[in-house]
Amino acid sequence: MVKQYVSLAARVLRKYRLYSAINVLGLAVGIACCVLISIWAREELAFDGFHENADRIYRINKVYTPTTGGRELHALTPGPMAGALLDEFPEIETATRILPSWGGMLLVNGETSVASQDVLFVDQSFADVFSFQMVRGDRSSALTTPASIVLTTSMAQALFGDEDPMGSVVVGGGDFDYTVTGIIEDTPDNSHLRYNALVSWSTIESTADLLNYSFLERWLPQTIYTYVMLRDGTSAGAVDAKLPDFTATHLASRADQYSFYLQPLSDVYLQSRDVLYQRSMVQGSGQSVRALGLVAFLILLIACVNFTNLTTAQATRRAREIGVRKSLGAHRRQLVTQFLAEAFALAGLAAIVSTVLLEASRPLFNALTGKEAAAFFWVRPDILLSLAAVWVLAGFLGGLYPAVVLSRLQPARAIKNVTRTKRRGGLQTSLVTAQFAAAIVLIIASATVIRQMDFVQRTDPGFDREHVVVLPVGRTGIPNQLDAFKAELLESPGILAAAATSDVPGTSLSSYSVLPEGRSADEGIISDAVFLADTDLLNAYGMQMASGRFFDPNRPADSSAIVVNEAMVRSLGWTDAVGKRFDRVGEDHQGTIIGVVKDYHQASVHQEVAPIFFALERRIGALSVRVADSDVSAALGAMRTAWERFEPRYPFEYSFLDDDFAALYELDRRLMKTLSFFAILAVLVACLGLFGLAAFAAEQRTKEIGIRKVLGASATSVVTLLSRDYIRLVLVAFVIAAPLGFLIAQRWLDGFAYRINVGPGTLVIAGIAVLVTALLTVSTQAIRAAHNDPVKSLRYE
Amino acid sequence: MSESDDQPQLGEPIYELRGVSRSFGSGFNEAHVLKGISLDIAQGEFVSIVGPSGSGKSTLLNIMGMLDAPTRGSCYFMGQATHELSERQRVKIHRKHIGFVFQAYHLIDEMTVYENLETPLLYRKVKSGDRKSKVADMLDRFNMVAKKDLFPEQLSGGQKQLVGIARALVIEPRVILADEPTGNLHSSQGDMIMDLIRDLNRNDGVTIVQVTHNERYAAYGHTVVELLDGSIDSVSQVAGQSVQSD
Ligand SMILES: Nc1ncnc2c1ncn2[C@@H]1O[C@H](COP(=O)(O)OP(=O)(O)O)[C@@H](O)[C@H]1O
Ligand SMILES: [Mg+2]
Repeated sequence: MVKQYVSLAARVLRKYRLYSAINVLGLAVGIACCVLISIWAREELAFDGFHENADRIYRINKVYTPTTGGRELHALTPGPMAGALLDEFPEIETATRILPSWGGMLLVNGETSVASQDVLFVDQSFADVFSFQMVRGDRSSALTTPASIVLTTSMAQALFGDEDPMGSVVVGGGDFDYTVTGIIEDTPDNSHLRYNALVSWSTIESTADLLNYSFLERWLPQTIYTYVMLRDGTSAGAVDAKLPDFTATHLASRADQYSFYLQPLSDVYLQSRDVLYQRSMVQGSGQSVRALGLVAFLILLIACVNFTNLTTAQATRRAREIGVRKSLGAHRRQLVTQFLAEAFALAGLAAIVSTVLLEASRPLFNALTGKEAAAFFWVRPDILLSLAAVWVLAGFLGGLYPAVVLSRLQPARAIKNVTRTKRRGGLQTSLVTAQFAAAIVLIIASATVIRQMDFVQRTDPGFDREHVVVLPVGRTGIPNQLDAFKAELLESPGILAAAATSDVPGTSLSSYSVLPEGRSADEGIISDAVFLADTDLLNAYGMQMASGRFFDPNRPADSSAIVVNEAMVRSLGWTDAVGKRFDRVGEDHQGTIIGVVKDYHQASVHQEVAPIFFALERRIGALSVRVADSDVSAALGAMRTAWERFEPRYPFEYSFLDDDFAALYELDRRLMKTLSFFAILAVLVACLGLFGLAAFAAEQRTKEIGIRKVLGASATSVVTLLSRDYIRLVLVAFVIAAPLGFLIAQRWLDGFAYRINVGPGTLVIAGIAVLVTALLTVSTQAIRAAHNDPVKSLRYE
Repeated sequence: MSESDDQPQLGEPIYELRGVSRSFGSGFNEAHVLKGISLDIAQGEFVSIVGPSGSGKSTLLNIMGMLDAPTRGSCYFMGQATHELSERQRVKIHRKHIGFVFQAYHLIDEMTVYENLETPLLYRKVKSGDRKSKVADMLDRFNMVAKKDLFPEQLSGGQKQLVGIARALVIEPRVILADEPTGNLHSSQGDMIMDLIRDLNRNDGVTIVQVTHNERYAAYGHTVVELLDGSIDSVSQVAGQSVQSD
């Protein structure tokens, strides 16, 4: 019996090739999308999960509520916090501190030098909290003695080649000797924390006095990261509950502004979009994971709906066969089995085709995720298992409904083929409507993302971000000879200005605590972002002054002056800021505000323009060079020549500011690409199903159309007749989808401080796009039917 | 033929129809297709049902074949009221005793001749070995061994109807219900099919109920029942034909 079912199924599939192909293709595409998205989503969700104690590890973040209003999340914590936590909280097993070296570090071994982006100063306990694998060296002591460095495998390879680096000396940051005490695995792809090398914390402590690193013992400013590992069986909630008291004890004056909390390690990667000041850490987007998860589900749903609809439509033309089989003594169960077997064969075929699609879409997958998938990346037990699950699910969805409906047909009628199935069953209509509603929602969502990204592109950042070349000189010796270097650059006619700054727009700034004039020392202190710059900042970036003036190289007194932005003035509730005093807390530094810079976007448009103040101070991270747009390559050549003369140890590096700025929206852009890609696929899959249904309807109504034509109906009226139903259906789908799509799009836009509105235009365009696509699909069939020779179609009788 | 105990003797009634009515639709649209048909058919009898198109012949045959049920009245098959049977029992009797032959053959297009013949046996859960020999017997008997792997569309009308009859016969039914079996055939093919049906009746004792429009073919039977507008207009014995009782 089974053999007969299988060979019969194969013949039926072959006989109705078009329907089988549509069915298999649609479902295969649905399955492939779903698998691709879930592979990606699972990797995102599993970030940092490889640490043995991942479930007990937390990062300490804080909620900062400036007295001037607003609310920010920071990842930065005070230097003494780790020690104090360990002393006072029995729940905490280990606490570890991390301080990324500012601007990276140049590491040198003899003639070889390598710029490393992420060099972290870490406690020895780093090795207890995290499970990164040590390849060489003693895990329990490698980071103990001052001036110890642990290199990653790649870094060791780059610096030492085939030599044994253990015990060798590496020169870091120009003049400091580190001893290699270990080799650690390269940062795993799924670690939010990035490193090229780890340096022992005791190194900072041993040089703290020398360099006046007061942040180690003081609770302000807050510049380091603290991670804790709780004891087994203790809860983060218990620690969180006691943290306010802890803050009140150690930071009495600021307890109402700082509220520390534990962020689970599993959330750090995906749920930190709003957390500021994360250096040497990568971020994902939990929102994208949720959005694409929904998309995957919708596409699979659409494909399964197709499958159900097409198999049902397909099966109704076999009513006669069912009647005959009943007359031959078929029991209902046997008929149900037969139809299920066919559906399973079809779904099985789709599952197989989907694996081919998966392999073929590997380059696409890599482009969408920014990762590198290996060949046959989908051959994994979990994926094969879910393929099998989808196979069974689709088989049942596609087979059960037609099987049950058809096997219930009254045999005497079925044989006569008077199965007056109304033109389309109620279920079928609702399924197709749901399908199109899902497609419209996806289109509204992706259209919104595309429009917002366009808006972001066109938003005036408040400065001229084009034609600015950024030289990352922070880790080189160039800042020591800054004036000479700048002078040499400016000799090149293509170079208009150069400004040395701590950071550049698009990166996060550090923060200083200051006491603005007119506020009491008790509660008036604010912590805000500080942009350290030289006097050429405005020339290099083209920012505008709102009032007052910027730092003047000819006025030595400006070294203690302060410039603020308009947001700062607003947040302090001032009308005129110029002339007001602005004192740095903890430093013997009293300044006067000399000017107000017009607001510009230092961060992405996700965030409101934050208060910033500018100080004329040399802590140089980068040199921003404004070039004339006439000959950028000559200007770059001049920069290279100067660089190589001033800093021969260190390879010339540069980037364009607008590229760096674009990187801010990398996650958004990736969401835009993936979302619009899958939205289009969803519409195509839905239309594939519609095409099948329309072809079927046209075929079913061949006789009716023939009669109408004999009676004088025009081709146009026949096309209208056949398409009318579908228009109504898309309209109903639109009514359902428009509010839903609106809500979803609006929700996403909430993540932007500066954003478009989802206007009726977007909704209507999405509806029209789907309507037109649906009509094109349907009318191909309708037109074919309308042009059939009526006599031929009637001769069937 | 099977030797089961419930095998009725030749001449005993196989069908007893008592006031069988069938109507379709309801209210204004209600169509009374059969109006109180009472009819006895004996085991081994060969009955021809004639009458104008739309008079209810096919409906009557479907009720006898348990593909349809009367709205009023009852139909006894081998002494059992069909309306008292469960769906399961009905399918069981149906499978065992009743073979259908249709005007439009109604072979299953996607299956070969062999598979068409095998299908009723599969539904009866006949073992593979028995199935093979029974199908082989039928192919032999109807000279279709060479055609067993062909699909219906590769056969002529007469050949299709041969397969249709072979398929009805393969389960060794007690009765064959044939709805205009020659309706789509040329006269030479028609004669061949009718001769075959008569042989089944004479030599194997299979009860035949056929619907026909052809007077000559109607006369192949013992009894001719004429339907007119849902009622029996006349029942006549065909001269020179009587139920064989040897
Ligand atoms: N399933 C049905 N639903 C409604 N009317 C039916 C159905 N089957 C048969 N009829 C009607 O019953 C009448 C008799 O049909 P039928 O038994 O096929 O007649 P015959 O076989 O004598 O030509 C016809 O008018 C037909 O339209
Ligand atoms: Mg008829």
